[in-house]
Amino acid sequence: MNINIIKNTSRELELEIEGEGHTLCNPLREILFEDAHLTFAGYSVPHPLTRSARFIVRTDGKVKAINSFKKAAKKLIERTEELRTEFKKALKAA
Amino acid sequence: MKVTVLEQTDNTLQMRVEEVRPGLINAIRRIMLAETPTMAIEEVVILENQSPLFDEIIAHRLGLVPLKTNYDQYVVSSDCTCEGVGCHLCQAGFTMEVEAPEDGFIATTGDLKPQDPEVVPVSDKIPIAKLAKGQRIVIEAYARLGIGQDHAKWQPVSTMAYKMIPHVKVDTNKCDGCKECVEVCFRQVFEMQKDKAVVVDEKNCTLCNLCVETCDVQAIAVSHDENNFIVTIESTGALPPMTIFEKGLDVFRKKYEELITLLPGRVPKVTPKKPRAKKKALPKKPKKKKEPKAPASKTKTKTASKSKTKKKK
Ligand code: SF4
Ligand code: SF4
Ligand SMILES: [Zn+2]
Repeated sequence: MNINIIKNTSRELELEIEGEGHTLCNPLREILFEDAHLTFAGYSVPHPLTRSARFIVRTDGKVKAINSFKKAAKKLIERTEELRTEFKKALKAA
Repeated sequence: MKVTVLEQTDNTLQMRVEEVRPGLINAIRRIMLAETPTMAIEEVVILENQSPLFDEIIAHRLGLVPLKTNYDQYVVSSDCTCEGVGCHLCQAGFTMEVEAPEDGFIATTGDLKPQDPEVVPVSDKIPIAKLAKGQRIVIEAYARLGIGQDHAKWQPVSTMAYKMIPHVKVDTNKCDGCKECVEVCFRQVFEMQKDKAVVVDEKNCTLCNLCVETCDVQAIAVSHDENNFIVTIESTGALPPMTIFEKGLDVFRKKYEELITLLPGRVPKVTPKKPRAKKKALPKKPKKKKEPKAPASKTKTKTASKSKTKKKK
């Protein structure tokens, strides 16, 4: 993974994520939608063979876009761990 | 979030996962298919091949043989101290020497002799080549860790699929007992009981909506939960499905951890005009520090102790 930041203002973050595609971006975008300060979040994978994605996050300005983005990534890590504990519990119960 | 195991065998696992966003479960599916590492034969040295098959066909068939994977012993060869050349820390060897005792003899994966007893084909009955009497095959093969994104042979699952939990309702007041839904539904969701259609196997529904379209009196309603899923994992045998799922979660988690470390800590005010030069310098710092440290230390400490027993010259 390699990141090129194309635009980074308080309201907008635009970045290129090299070496990643839908797997990384789609859950992020989904979690970002839960953010109350978000006005736009989207990504595109310009070509399926080049393994890179372009991500855009815009907020209302009360929260910096990059912070929203980081928070979403953290939230995803937490959810993964939650899923792992639930999964282990279920295996024990089965 | 809630997980319930519905069915479990050696190679399959079906579970109900509730209150999860579809994007998350789909990303985990993609990771299990394409980014969870397993072992597969990557290099084949053909010393003798008298079979009717070309060398590359045999090599290809060997590559596709699912192998039992052991994560504790091996590292990905690009992260290995040998720098991808291939050594006992990152690859497991096999030899095979067969001579057909009679016509129509089939060389199978059972003839592959593993050097590491923990990395073996999941079945010894997978055919490799059919030989005539006296024909010989002598090969050496090396298995490495890899991911499905690079080649499907490294995929740990034959399928990993999920579906939204279906709900099928029949309004018995409207139903006139015409039986059409029973006939049209190919998943046997309905049954006739006392001249009324009754839902008997809701879980089996594929949400195709055929029954809704067929019913002339609009007695059927089909819906689904957006955030509840039935997840089915079917392993190739390389790893138990539980391990694949957990390893998938690990891979998933690591992606976001890496992403966070790559993002600049303090947000610099960047003028949008000249973004590239500045920004490239920023993310480099955390990356350089982190990357070589983590895998290198792992490979050395973990494998060095074990390598003594199975050193190969
Ligand atoms: S198609 Fe409709 S009316 Fe006919 S049996 Fe089924 S539910 Fe009843
Ligand atoms: S939606 Fe399709 S699968 Fe489901 S009950 Fe109707 S006909 Fe059967
Ligand atoms: Zn090596």
